[in-house]
Amino acid sequence: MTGPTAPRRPSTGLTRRQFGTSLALLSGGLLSGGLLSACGSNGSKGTSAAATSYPTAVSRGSTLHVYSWADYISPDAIKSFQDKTGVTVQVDTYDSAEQAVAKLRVTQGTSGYDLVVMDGSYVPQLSSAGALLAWDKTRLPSMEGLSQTFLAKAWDPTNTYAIPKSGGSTGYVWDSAVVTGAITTWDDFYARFADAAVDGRTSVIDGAPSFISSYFWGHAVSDQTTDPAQYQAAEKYFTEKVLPHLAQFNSYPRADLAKGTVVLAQAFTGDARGALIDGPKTLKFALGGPKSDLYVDHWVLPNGTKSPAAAHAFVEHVLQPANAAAETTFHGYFTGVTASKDLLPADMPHKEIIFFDEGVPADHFEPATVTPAARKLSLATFERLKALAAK
Amino acid sequence: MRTTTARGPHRTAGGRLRTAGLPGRGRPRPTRNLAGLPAFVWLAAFFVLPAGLVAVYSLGESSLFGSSPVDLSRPTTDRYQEAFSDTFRIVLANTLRLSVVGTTLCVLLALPVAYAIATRIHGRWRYLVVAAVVVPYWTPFLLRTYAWRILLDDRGPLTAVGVHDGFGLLDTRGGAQLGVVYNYLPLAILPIFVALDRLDPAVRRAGRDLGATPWRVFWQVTLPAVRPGLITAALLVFVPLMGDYVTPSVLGGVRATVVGNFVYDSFLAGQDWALGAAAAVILVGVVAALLALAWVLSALAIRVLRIVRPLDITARLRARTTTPERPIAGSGSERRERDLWGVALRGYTVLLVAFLWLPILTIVSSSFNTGNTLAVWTGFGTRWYTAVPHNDALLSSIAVSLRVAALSTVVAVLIGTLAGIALVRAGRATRTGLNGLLVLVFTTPEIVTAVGLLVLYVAAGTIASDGTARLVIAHSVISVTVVAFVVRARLAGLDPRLPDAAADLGAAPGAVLRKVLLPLTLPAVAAGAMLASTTSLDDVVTSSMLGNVGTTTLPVYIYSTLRTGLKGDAAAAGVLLTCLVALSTALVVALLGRRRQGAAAFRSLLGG
Repeated sequence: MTGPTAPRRPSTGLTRRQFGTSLALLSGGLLSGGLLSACGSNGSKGTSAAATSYPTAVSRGSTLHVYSWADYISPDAIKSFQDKTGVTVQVDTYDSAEQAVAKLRVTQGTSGYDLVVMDGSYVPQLSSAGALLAWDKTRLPSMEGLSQTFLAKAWDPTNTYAIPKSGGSTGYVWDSAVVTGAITTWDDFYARFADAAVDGRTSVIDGAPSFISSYFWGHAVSDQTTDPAQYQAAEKYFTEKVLPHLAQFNSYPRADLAKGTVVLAQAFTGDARGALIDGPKTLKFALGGPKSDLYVDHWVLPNGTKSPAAAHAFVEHVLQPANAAAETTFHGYFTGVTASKDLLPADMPHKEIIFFDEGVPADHFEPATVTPAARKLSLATFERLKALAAK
Repeated sequence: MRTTTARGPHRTAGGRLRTAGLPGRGRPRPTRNLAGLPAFVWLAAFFVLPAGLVAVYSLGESSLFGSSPVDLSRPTTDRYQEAFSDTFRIVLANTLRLSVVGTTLCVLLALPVAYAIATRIHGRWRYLVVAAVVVPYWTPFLLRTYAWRILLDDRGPLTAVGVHDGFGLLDTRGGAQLGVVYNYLPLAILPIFVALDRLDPAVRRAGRDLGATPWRVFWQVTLPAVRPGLITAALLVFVPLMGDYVTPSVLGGVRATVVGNFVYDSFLAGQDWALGAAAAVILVGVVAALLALAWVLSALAIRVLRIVRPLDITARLRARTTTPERPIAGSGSERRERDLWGVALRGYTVLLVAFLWLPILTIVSSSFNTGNTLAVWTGFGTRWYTAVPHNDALLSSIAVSLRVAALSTVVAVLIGTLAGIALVRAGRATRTGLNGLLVLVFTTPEIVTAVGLLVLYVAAGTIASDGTARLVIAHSVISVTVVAFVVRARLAGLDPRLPDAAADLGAAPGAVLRKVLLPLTLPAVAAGAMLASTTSLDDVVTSSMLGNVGTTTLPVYIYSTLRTGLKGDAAAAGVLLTCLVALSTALVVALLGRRRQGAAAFRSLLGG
C-alpha cells in the first residue's frame, strides 16, 4: 500500500477502523451493488504513472514477490539474481491463469505481488482494468535480443505492459508404433481417432481455446469468430469424429503418453516434449496445421507493486542470454531470447519442439486472444461437447 | 445408563418428573440457543455475506474488460435461462447418478468398518484402526487419487498380482466412481463410528438375553442408535459430491463431466461470474429440493414401518413354524456364531484399510522414482528427498499447509462443536435455522464462497490482508460444518433428560457443558477435527483464489506443477506433509492426554 503506485482506497464513506463496520459496509454493498462500484472506482489511474518515475535503487535485503506457475522459473537464474542484488525472490504459485486474472482484477493493487507471470491473451483485460503498470523499457535493454515470434503481438502491440517470458504452440503427439504415417493437419489428426488401434486411447486438451479452436485452425476460420453457425459446425464435427473415440479431456497428457495409456493426443509443445523425453522412442510430435495457436507467458508489473526497481532488474536479468538458457534448460520452453539458443547444452533433447517456430512462417500462428462474445460461444460449445461425451 | 452417576435422593423423583412433565426434548432453556450463536455469527460473516453477494451477481452480466467483473446496472434473469440449458441438464443427470451411487457405496462400505471399530476393536488397536482410516487423507488429494492411475495402468504394479488392464477402470464411469468412493469414505466411516460407539454394548447384550433374535436386536437397538450416523454420513458424502468436479475427473476421463465442471468453468475459464453464479444457484436449489424429498420419503418410510411392524410379522410367522425355544445367551454355539461374525468384521476391516493405503504406498514408492515423470518409473533413488530442502517454494508451501490446517481445525472445533450441540439441544427455531444454514454451506460450490470472500477481503482493506487469516477463515467455513454434523451424529438420540438432570441438580450451564455434554461429545470432536484437517489439507480452489503473498499451500503448488509435469518432488513433499501431520496429531493427543490424567482421556477421546 506504499510507494508511488499505491491505489486509492475504495471510497464508500465508511470508516474502516472498527471491525464491525466491515459488516455494515458489506451488507450495504449487497443491497446497492455498491461493493462492485467501490472496487471499480479506483485503479485505472495507476497505469498513468509515468514509466520512468519508478525508483531506481534496488534495495539489498528486500524481497521480490513473484506470482507464477510452479517450477516455472529457473532456480539457477533466481540464485544468480539473489547473489548479484541481495534481493530475495519469493515465488507464489497459481494453478490456473484465469484464477490469477480474477485475483489481479479484483484486488486492484492490493494483491501484494511485485511481479506476475501472465498469459498474453489476458493482458488487454488486465490493462483495461487498471491492474497493470507500464514497464520502463529503458531499464530492459536486453529486450533487443527477443525474437519477433513473441514481440509486438495483438495483446500488447507495443509491449508496454507485457515482456515475453516464454511461450509455445499446440500440436499433436502420436505413437508411431500404433498410428502409422505422418500427421500434418488437424483434419489428419482427428481422422485418426476412428482407427481401431487408437480407439479409447486418445485425449484432447481440457479447454475451449485449445480444443474448439483447433477445428477453426484446421478449417481456415478465425478462432475469434462470433458466427454461431461456425460453432454448430465445430460441434457437429467433434460429435461425429472425436467424441465416440475420446478417452480424456487432459491438458497435460505427458504421463499418459509416456506410459502408453494414450497413443494419440492434442498437446502443448512443452508437455509434448516431456512425453517424448520420458516415453517410448516411437512417440512423434508435429505442430498443428495448417494453423495453430501461439501462447506466450509474459512478465507483467501489477498495480501496487512495492518493488518496481527489483522487478525491472529481475526481468532484465532473465533476458540475458545465459540466464535465458538456464530458463529453457529448466522448464523446456523457448524464452524468445535468440542468443540463448547457442548456449544450451548440446545434448538437450528435442530442441525442435522448444524452438517450434524455426522455419515456420509467422502466419502459421494465431496469437491467443480473448474476445468476450467468441469466448462465450466457444465455452458453451465446449461444455456441451463435454456433456455429450459423458452421456 | 449414565444417569446413575447422578447422586442423591432427587435421582428417582427428578427422572420421573421429567418423563411425566416434559415430553421430547425437555424444558427449553434460553442458554441452550447460545451454543449456536458463534456458528451463526461466523457463517453469517464469512459465508452468507460472500455467497449472497455472488448470488446477486447471477442477476447481472459479466464484463471481461474493465474493473468490475459483473455489471449489475440492468438486473436480468437471462443468466438463469442461459445456465439451465440442455448441457446443464445432461451433466446434472450424470452428477446425480454419480452421487447417488457414490453415496450408497460409501455408506455400505463404511457401515461394517464403523461397526467393527465400535464393537470388536478395543484398546490401542482402536487408535491404530482410526488412524489407519484417517492418515491416508492427509496426503494431498491429487497425489492419492492420481496414484490410482499408476496402480490401474495396464502395465502397472497390479499386473504382478494378476490384475491386467486395471480392471478396465481408467477413464470410465467406474473409474470416476472409484475416485469418488475412495475419497469420500472417511466422511462416511467416522460419523457412523461415533454414533455407534455411544451405544452401550450392555444394551445389545440385554436384548439378546431377553430373547430377541440378532436381527431384532439390530433392528430395534443398533439401527436406531446408528441412524443419526448414517444420515450424517449420507449427507457428508452426497452434498459435497453434487458440487465436486475434481474427484471424478482424475480417474473418470470423458465420463466424469459433472455440474461442478459447468460452474467452475463458467467462473474461471469463461470468467463469466454471472453465469457461474446462476448455475451455482440452480445447483443449490436442486440439491435442497433433493434433500427435502429424501427427508419426506424417509419420514414416510418410518411411519409406514411403525404401522406395519415387519419384525413382529416375521416373528409371528416364525412362531407358527418353529418352536420358540432358543439357546440361552452365552452358550457354546452362540459364542461361536458371534466369534465368526467378529472374525468376518475384522477381516473386512483389514481389507478396507489395505484399500485405503494402497494408493498411499504407491505414492511413497513413487517418491523414490528418480525419473522426471512421477508415473514413469526409471530407477530408485532419494533424488527428490534431497531436492525438497533446496526448493524454497515447496518448503514454504508445506509450512503454510500445516499452519492453515492446524488453525482452521482449531476454529472449526471450537465453533463446530458448539454448533453440533446446538443442533441437538437448542430450541426448534434455532435448530432448524442452524441446520438449514449448515446444509447450505455444504451445498454451495466452493468457488462461490471463494469469489465472494475475495471481493469482501478486498473491500475490507488492510484488516483482511493477512494471507494466513484469509485461508483459515475460508477453510473453517466448510470445516465448522463437518464438525457440527459429526457432533450431531454423536449426540442425536442422547437422552435429553441427562443434561437436564444435571441442571436440576444445580449444575450451572457451563458445568453441564463441561462435565456432561463435552465428555460425551469428545470422540465426535476428535473425529470432526480429523475430518476438518483433511478438508483443509485437500483444498485447492479456495486456497488458490484467496491466498496472497507467501501463502501458497502444498495442494495449490502440486496442482500448478501439472503444467510442467508432476514429479517426484511433489510426492516426496506429500509424504513429508503426511508424516508431519500425523506426528503433530500424535503430539497433541499425547499432550491433551497428560493434562487430563492420561488413560482416562485417551479412552474418552475414542469413546473407549
